[in-house]
Amino acid sequence: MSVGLLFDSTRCIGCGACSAACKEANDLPLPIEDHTTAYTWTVVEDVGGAKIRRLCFHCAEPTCVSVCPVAALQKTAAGPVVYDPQRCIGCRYCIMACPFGVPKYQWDQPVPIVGKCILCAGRVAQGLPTACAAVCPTGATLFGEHGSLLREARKRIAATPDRYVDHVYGANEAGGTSVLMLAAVPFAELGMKTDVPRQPLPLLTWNVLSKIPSFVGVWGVLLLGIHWITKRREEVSAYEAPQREKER
Amino acid sequence: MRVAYFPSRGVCTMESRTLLCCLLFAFVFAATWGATPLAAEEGAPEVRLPADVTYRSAENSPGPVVFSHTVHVPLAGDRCVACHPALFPILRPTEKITHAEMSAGKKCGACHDGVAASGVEDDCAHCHGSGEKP
Amino acid sequence: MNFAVASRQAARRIGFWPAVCGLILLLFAGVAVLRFTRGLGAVTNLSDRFPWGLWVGFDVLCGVGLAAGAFTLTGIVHIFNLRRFEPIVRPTVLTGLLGYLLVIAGLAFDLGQPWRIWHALFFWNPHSVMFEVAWCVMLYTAVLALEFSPVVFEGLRLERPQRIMHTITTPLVILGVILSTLHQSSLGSLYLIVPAKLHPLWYTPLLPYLFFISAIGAGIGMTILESHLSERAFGRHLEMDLLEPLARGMVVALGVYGLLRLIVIAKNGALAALLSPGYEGSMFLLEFTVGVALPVGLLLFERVRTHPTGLVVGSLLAVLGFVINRLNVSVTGMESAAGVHYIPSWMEITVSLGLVAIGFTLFALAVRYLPVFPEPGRRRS
Repeated sequence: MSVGLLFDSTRCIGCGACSAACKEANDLPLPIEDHTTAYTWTVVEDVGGAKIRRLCFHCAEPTCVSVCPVAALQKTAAGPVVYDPQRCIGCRYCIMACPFGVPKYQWDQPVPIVGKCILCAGRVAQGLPTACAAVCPTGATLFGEHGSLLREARKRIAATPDRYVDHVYGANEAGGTSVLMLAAVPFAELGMKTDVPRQPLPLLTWNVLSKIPSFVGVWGVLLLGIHWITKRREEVSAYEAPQREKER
Repeated sequence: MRVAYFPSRGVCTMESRTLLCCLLFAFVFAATWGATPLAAEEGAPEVRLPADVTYRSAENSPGPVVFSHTVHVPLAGDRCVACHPALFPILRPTEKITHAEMSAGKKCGACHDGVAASGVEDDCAHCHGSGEKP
Repeated sequence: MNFAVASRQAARRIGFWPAVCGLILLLFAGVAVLRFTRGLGAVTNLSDRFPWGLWVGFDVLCGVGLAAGAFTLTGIVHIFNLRRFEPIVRPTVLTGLLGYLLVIAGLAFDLGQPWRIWHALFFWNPHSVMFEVAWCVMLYTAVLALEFSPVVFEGLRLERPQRIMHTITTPLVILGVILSTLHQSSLGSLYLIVPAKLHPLWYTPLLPYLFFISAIGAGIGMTILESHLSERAFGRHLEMDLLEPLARGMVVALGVYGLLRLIVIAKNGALAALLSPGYEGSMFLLEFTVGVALPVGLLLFERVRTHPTGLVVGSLLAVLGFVINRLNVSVTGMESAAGVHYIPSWMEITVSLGLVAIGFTLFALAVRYLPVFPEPGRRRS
């Protein structure tokens, strides 16, 4: 069973309990900033009256996980994409690659690490909901099994189509994400990226990397062959040189 | 049971009185419910504030203290972050609050300093009373 | 005696370029202290929206590419058996080795926790292009060190190790070419993962091929430039009979590369961006003119190619264009999507220049104390 969140923007009142709970659950330093940083892993923003949460989407096939050279980011079977600060070398490829712009860095630290929502992996492992879902007073953030949350999202759109934009954000973006969102206004107006491809991004590089073993074999044989042919030409030429001298 | 909404010829039946009372009660209930500050307009999100928090009395305490979110949240501008998590944890209950902490500006004392709100030494019954809203 | 007079006198004693080097290195040391005590934010203009800047775009992407002459030359000599190019192999391999060592030094600045760079040896992620780059660069730097070791052994007059190295030259060179092909192209593959972020003038599934071909062109260009600078610094003369055919190779590489770029851009539908060029369009035109059109146009003419000045100017343009291209991929092309106009801080520039200065210094030291260049009049067996 893979868990996730459903954030319904129309039910959000912008109270910030989610940010507060996240800080507490993850032992993050105050204050709660007005945008996500390495120290503030989720915020709720007011965009022209509509509320939108910023947090990690915990993709089904995470780009960050695929690009990390030391596998510091990993997708767990339960759903959360977790980060091991002990492995991280600080290359920041995850920050560069994430199509949602989620991971953030501790630019002010001499020994910096990445910071992002980890879907309360520790709490989830104990059977608890995420901190943000646990404290949300309106149920705008719901925690549960991903499949049922997706069904619930679609049900809400079908039941009250005037209330929502007909799009479940995260259903298809980047191959599908564990965190889903509903909103009353187009997601682009809420500052969400709408140019995220439907195909999981890791495939773009796996297409190339998967061919490396065969490439090494072919290229190696080719180079060896060229060396052998040209060397033979040189040897033949050296062998024939005295004969050519004699013929002159 | 057939109900006469407009009793004719002055006959005020038992049923019609009961119905009128029900309607009156329903109207008052709806008005009160609609007046809840955090859900003023129709279709607005239904807000479930956390239940009242009761702090059991320790020795020397004049009585338990009941903290009401319903009262305090509007005073904090409907923003949970006004108190959480800087002053109080949000995921687990605060076990104990001492007067020493509050006088130092921590916990309740951050607002109940005698200026922003009543001070903790002013009136014992204000907090330790029966738990009624001020 | 005031500071101006004293410094002028010092410069005259030391020499202008060494004095400049010394000043840069002094600042470099200061910036290094700041970077490691106060963090990246205190020293760079990087941010969450723009996490890769000059140190990735120049130190890594250009540093690795400009060191590509090593695999090209060793391949030409030992795989294609064109022995007449052998005299320029040693300085080219030295340039390559120093280039890669400086890339690693650059990473020591850019990585958030560079003391953990060895983690890639034990924590694997074969799905990551960066993992592959890390391994190939580590292995290839070792290969370069081995390829350069005969020079050291000869300098130390150690006969036996020299002979051993001689026997493994061919497989070592083949390994070097394979490793180089992999990581030169992978530097381009790094950007395959950001189709929505990299501008269509630069994003293409063909990025690995383009990076590889341009590396060959730039590597040859650097070889020619290095010969020219060595001529000026150490009184060597330019081996025109060797460099001219290399320049022809560079022209072919640049020509193929340029054509591929134009085809890709046409397919991307980004040609319109060039007709009324905005910021990205102008930067592309700059890169293409300096790096492809001018060098190819000039060096097609035999008169230019066979003249030392023409050769050097053509090579300089090719190398400059290469640098502009890699900075366009890593910076210019990424700015629009990030909503950031990134300009490196003076401290970032100091570190990059400092690394270049260290490279020149080490090269000069190596030439001074090791038999990098063949003795004039002595035929190598």
